[in-house]
Amino acid sequence: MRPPALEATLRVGLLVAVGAIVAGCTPAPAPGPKHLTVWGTSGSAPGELRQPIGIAVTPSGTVFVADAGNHRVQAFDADGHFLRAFGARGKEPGEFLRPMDLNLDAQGRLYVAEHGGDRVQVFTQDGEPLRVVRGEGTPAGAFDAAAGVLVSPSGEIFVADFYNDRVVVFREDGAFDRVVGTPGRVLPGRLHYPTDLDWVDGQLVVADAYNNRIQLFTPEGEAVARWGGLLGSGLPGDAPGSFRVATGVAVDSLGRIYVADFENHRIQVFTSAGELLTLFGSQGTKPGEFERPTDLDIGPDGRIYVVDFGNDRVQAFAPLSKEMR
Amino acid sequence: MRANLIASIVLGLLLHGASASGEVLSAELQVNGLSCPFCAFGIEKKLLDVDGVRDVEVFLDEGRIDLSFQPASKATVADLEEAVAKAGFELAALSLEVSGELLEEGGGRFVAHPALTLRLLEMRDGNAGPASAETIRRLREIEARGGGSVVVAGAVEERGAAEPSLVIQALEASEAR
Repeated sequence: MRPPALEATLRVGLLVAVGAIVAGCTPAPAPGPKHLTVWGTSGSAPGELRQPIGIAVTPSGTVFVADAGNHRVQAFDADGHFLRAFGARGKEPGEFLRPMDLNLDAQGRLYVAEHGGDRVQVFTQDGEPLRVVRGEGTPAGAFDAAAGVLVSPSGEIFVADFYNDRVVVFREDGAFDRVVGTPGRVLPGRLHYPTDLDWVDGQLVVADAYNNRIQLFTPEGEAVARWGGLLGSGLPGDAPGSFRVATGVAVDSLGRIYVADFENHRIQVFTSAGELLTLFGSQGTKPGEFERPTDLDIGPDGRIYVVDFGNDRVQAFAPLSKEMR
Repeated sequence: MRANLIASIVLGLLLHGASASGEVLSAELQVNGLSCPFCAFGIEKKLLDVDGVRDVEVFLDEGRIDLSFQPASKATVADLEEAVAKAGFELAALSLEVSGELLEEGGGRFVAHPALTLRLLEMRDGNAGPASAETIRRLREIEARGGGSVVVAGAVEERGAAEPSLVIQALEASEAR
């Protein structure tokens, strides 16, 4: 029988050895990007933010923010200077009940998904309402909290339908076409409270938020890849590559996938195959720290804009190196 | 015995018609695990769908939700519980402020109402409840007058029962408001 002290030493040694092997097999992620700027203070005056959630950046660098607590959309220049705001609480065209996410189509029209309003409204970039997309004609008959919106390169409109655990696809004219994903956990193609969408290499990227994972689908709806937790099962965690509620997703011009890892207070960046490239951020209020980031988007120059929900602000980071792939 | 002092008063709340004998004035809900805006705004959406709920204010970091009601609201405890469940949460605690006509029947006091009946308690688990001595004195006065319109606030217990209980925290005659 070994003495207790020797036993303990052997156990520690074994753990160190296993740790070294695991670390050796898993390349350490590259350092995160440089912090550039931060804007927004808590409030409802022009330029102030209250519970901001979604973000979209135009090809010319205008940053639109879904200012959910104020039921409005605000526009800023690339450095965070206030440009304009539109919308107020209500159900009429041009009004909002909790705007959550934004996206732009190829013509530069702004799509806004509303959680409380159960609709997607389409606007000019000056805030003029153009039309409304609702969930009529879908199997459930309506959206139940439209959390995310994406316009594909072909003009199809994809809506993350939060409480119906699905993504609903509409043709360019707004007519319902099909559903992607089914409610559930763990298994491929099952969704649990999806919140955001993007597009990579001709495939739909879904922030499968409460499954704590990212899923990729063909445009027709076949689940083709997933990551987050053990084998993409969605087991929550804080290890690199795992998530605690993956609420936001964005894809840059090189096909790198950025994920807002909400309850881990960080951003993780992956290849389109799900290999972790880098991660950055931790909980806090200093520049570069986050309090529950919800969404992010990539500017035309590669800048990374992150909605820092709990701090009522937006933070901008320098582009990632093009070599990081 | 002190236990004999427990008033087991059935309070029926007539929610049909503001001028009728009762309505829910406000509610405070406590929900565990409410940290995410998608869920917070979701619970807000589900509660606004409840017939008669006028406004919802979610205090994310406190897990607290304040509700106000339209006059003649038909909202019931079960409606609120169901709305919270639909949003994916469990209602941890519920407090109500209600108005009603305090009447006497079979040794108890009540206001009959077809939609919602609350059993009004002065004590909780045999111990003194949160109501102040002044509140209990007011209750006695109203009882001595044979009843009347009251506004009462407190925590709802036994929410799944046919007659949930409301542990009195504050009570006053309606005309005093």
